[in-house]
Amino acid sequence: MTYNKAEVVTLEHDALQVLSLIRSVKNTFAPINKVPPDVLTLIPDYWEDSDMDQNLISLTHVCRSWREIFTLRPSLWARLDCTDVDKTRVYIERSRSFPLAVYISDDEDDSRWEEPFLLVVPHINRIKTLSVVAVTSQVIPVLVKNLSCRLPFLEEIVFDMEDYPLPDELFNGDLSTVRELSLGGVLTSLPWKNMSNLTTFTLHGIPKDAILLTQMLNFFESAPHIRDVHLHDSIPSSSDAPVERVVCLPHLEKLEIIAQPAHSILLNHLSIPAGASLSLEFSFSGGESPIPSYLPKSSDGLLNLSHITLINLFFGLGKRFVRLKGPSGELQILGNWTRGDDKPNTGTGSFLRSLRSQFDLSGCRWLVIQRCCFKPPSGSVTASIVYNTLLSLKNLSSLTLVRCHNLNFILALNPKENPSGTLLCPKLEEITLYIKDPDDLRVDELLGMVKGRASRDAKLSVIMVVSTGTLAPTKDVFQLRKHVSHVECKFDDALPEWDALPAQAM
Amino acid sequence: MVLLVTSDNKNFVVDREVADRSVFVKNTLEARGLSIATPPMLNGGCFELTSPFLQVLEYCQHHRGEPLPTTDDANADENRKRTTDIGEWDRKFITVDHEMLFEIILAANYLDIKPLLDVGCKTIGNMVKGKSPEEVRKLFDIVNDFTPEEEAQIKKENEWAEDP
Repeated sequence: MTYNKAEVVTLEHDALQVLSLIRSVKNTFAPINKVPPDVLTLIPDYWEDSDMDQNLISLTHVCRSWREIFTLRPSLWARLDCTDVDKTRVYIERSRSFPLAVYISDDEDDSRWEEPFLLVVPHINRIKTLSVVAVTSQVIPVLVKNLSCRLPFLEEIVFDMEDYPLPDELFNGDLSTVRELSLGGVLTSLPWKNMSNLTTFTLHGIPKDAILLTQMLNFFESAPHIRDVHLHDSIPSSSDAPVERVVCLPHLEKLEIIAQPAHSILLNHLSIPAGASLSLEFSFSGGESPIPSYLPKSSDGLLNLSHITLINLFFGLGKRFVRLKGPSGELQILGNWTRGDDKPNTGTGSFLRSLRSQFDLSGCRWLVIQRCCFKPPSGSVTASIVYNTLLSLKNLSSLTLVRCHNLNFILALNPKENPSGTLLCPKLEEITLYIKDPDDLRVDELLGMVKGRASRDAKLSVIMVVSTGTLAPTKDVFQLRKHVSHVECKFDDALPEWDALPAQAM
Repeated sequence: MVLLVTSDNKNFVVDREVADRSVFVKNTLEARGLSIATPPMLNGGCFELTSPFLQVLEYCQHHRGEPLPTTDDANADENRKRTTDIGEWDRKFITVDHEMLFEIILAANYLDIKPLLDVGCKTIGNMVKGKSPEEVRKLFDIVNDFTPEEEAQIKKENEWAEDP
């Protein structure tokens, strides 16, 4: 049998095709191929975006059937990072008509984004997410030229730039489909209107006073369904709005402000609905509590704080944290001491005084305090900050002290220790003490307190001692059992989180 | 209590709370008002259930009472998926041979137990992450069946994919 060269090439080609077919059939017996293709293609959903491209490409190179399975799922190819022309072309093709997430990253050394982005332009009607991170201003004219029309499926916008103006003509100023908007380092007067679907708004790194308060309030008014708002160093330092102007945010669930200008400048003009969570973070360095300048003048707009049942206080080094929580909502105040000379008690007293004067704490049932380290009062116990704080907590049922100077609390709670014989927190049932050293427990004074309360018909139900050190409390602690229904001691290495809920409140 | 009958006619009596971890079983029971679920079928044939079913039951027993993921929040679904973390108990539970792993995934998919499907898919995702195509083939007993023309196309693709 004789063959010419061309025939041999053809035979070899055919043989390789047959071999490929046999191998494909063989692969159908591989145990993993029992898993249906629609489940197999879910695997990339569990990777983070940063792992996605390389791993996905790798899967398409495993075998013919996997190549087909993974390239035929458009959603896997809809994330365009605009770093390579060929890659962008393949992704656009494989994503078919699926909504696109377009990421542009432009820096001084690398402006490779432009050519790949121009491939996206014919498909802008498919853009669902647009993220632009730019350190140069070159990106802006390209965007304006190509994205000055309304994008019908645009849901998420991220602009993270370095103090460049964001032209009003982008998207023709129409954000009616947008749900999430994040603006960082842009010069904008927030001109956009008709943001009827906007639910999440982030503003950060905006140059000082680049946005007037009136513009910010106008913005909130044009986004009636806003739920989450995060403002980082971007609120104005003074108000140009009439005192009586108040904007309602009826759907607000979370407002987070991290800034140095007094947050009250904005909060004076907002109505925070019941159920919302308000988080205020700032730095301070003086001895007086900065709380008043961060809260609105009147608490009328804080409907989320109308019913407080839980207070967490944390006075660790460099931190003065407060959380007020209840069925009506939540407030977190995170004060960070900026100087290096912080001592555990600096400003703690004024923090507590501020809380008492600004909020109605009478409905509070649970109080958790970490690292409150006042020295015992030298004079009458009634003059102490702890006494006066507990005096305002008429319905307190549970007190948890974590690494605190317990003596102040023990003396304040003993009606025999104050001249008028006042019984503080008459509904108190349970005390939990986290101690490092058995001496921190102050068993004698504790015994005096439980006796004193029992004699006033305010017997405690539970005292729980949690030792976070290596030594157990002495057996003397069980003398408390004569006057308390349940006394328990246990070891636990871990301290609770500062904002932990007491077990009874869960 | 609910009686579940597998395709190989084994009976399992389980608490309703355990059975309800499977959306398939839950919906079947609710629709029929019965306490007996018929043998699940897969691709028109009976599914070899007993062995993976025991594993699935163990999973459902352990996670009974936990809130089931809702299907109406796409973001929550996305966040649930976009992590390769697996809880300690789940990690030990899913440390099985490949055959059993695939059977559990099949069962979780058919019985519609999303958290278990998540665990199974995350496990496979972790197994293949960072591996070259050749390493993935070796791992799952797959052979390279590309023709020379297809290999050439893949090689071209590698130019922008930086040699996975």
